[in-house]
Amino acid sequence: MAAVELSVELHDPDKVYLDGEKIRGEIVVRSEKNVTCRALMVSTAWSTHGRGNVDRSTVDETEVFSGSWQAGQQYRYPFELTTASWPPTYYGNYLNVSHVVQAQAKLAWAFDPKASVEFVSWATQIPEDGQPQRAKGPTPLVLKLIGATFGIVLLGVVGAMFLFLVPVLLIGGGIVWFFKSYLPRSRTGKVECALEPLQARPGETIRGTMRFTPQRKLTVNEVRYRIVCEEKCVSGSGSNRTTHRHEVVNEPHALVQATELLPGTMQAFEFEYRLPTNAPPSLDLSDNDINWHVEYRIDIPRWPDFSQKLPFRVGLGPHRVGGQSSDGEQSSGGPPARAPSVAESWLAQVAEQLRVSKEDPQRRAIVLEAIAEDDFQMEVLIEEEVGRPPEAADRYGGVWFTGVETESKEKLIIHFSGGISQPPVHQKWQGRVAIIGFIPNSEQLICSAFSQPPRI
Amino acid sequence: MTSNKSPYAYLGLWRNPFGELTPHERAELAVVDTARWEALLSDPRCVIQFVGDCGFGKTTTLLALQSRLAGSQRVYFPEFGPRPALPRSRPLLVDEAQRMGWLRTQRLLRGDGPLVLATHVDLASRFEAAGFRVITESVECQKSPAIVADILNRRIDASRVQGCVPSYPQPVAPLDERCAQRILDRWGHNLRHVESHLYEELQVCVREKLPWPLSN
Repeated sequence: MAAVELSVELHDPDKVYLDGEKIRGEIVVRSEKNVTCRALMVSTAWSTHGRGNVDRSTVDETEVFSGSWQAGQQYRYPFELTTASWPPTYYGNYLNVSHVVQAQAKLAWAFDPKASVEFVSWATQIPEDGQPQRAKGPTPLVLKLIGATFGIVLLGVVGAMFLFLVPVLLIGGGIVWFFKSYLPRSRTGKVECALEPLQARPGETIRGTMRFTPQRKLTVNEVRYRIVCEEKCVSGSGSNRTTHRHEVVNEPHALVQATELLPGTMQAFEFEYRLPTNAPPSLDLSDNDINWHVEYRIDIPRWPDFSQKLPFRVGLGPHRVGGQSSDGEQSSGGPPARAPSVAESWLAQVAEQLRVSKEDPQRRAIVLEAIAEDDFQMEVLIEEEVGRPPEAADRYGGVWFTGVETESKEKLIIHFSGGISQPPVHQKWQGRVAIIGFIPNSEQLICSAFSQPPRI
Repeated sequence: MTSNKSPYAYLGLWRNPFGELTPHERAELAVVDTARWEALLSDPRCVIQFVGDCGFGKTTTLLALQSRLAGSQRVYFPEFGPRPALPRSRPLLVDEAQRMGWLRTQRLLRGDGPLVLATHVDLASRFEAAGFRVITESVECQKSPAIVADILNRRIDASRVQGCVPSYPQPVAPLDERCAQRILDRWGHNLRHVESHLYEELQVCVREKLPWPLSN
């Protein structure tokens, strides 16, 4: 049996701590033996975990006790510590960022017990350099000068050693440039791509443009843009260094389908893209990053494509804390940032907007009209057959079922017209649906299926 | 650690156990018979070399030994870039010893041990010619299901949330030897590959809120 057991109790374990707020709680010590504690330390820290090398930092630390503990006794020590203002709590696929309060007792002649508890940290502002605070002091100028001198000497030595590789690198680089830049531009002419703003928040709209003037008739399979959010994590070091990438968001959109573009005529394409409300924030940690970019592509048949990536940064949206968002809007509490699926992000947005307009029929009608032409790919767990809801009085025929969308857990009443096979109850159904209404009392989406779904 | 926030919480975990560990954690969780090696390393003319390809546990073994051998020092030789100087302290643990280069190898051969080498290439003949007693351990030899189960269970235990059972809906049960054998049959004996595949499998389960391990 351990001589001492520790636990950490937070005063408000479900609170979301914003921008370096203070966190309070107690360290509970249960002593099974008479022991001497040299120091009972409690600290706040953040740490990455997942596929990348662990990056972490201690934010605040204090000693709450030193002295003796008697066998069979319980002791409580209050603490108040600062939390990190950056990075925010995040749960993704390859990258996660957790914030903890950790306690450790340094005992004489015994194993040092530890305990920790996780909490959610959020931020309303990103640091200017995008870097988290780290618990280390400034590097003395002398050391910086030594480091710089060593770096220059090393570069010279290594450069001299690899001088013979320069022609090889030039040839290799030239080949890459030839295929990726020269050849495509010989067909498209100079392509100007732009994006604004280069820093946006979740729910905000980014706007992109692409302009080029082909010098001769140009057949294209497609001109498109793709929104990408990628977790990039590096594990190992040296020759074992491995980069792991996971695309959290990958949304291609066509600007023009297969067509012929006339020479000498400027082709101009514009798009607007609304970021999901729970878009992961851009993160730049050691060996753990979340990066957003737009990729423009001109797909040329039997020819190297033109492509260009423009990176942009995504900040943090207002976090919903206990019914009140940090920008004053009333809303329900939300989870920490996590990687959304494409369908979930849009469906969650729509459902949230309809819930917000529960008491406002006019606003609800505007939301429904805005999505009247949209459809969603869904997987629904069918519950039971029900009658036509009053809110869908204009829908005749077919059958109605209640169900739950499996990913977002949104409650639905879904209509299957006569032309669509009825799904069996208590089984999952997949297909495309349109949202045609909302039942305020039960907060159910009213949907209409309009494709032949494959059964799961 | 206690956590109600993490998507891994329903499994009684605070993280995916098969993600990257810190060097300290790798040393703490390593399943290495250090007592066997410590006894041999009392001889200053002893060299232990762990030979094998990447992903079979050479560096993890060195980290575990370093944590248990008082006064020991570990040096790593990168594939590119300047080679570090050899520390004078003993025991000396050399990671990627095949990259030492002629000069540093000569320094070791002329000096004393005890030495522990992690290498892709068998260096026994050179050290034996210099009068060392060399013990060679191939890390690529197949690990038993019991050992593999122990390795994976240590990682799982280090990732559990406090008060796991019965507070969490589907806490991860310890892996038994039969499960470990299925893992080895499916993904082979390269532990890095095993951990990579298990990471992906667990992530799929977390997304679907399924129990882990899966019954197959």
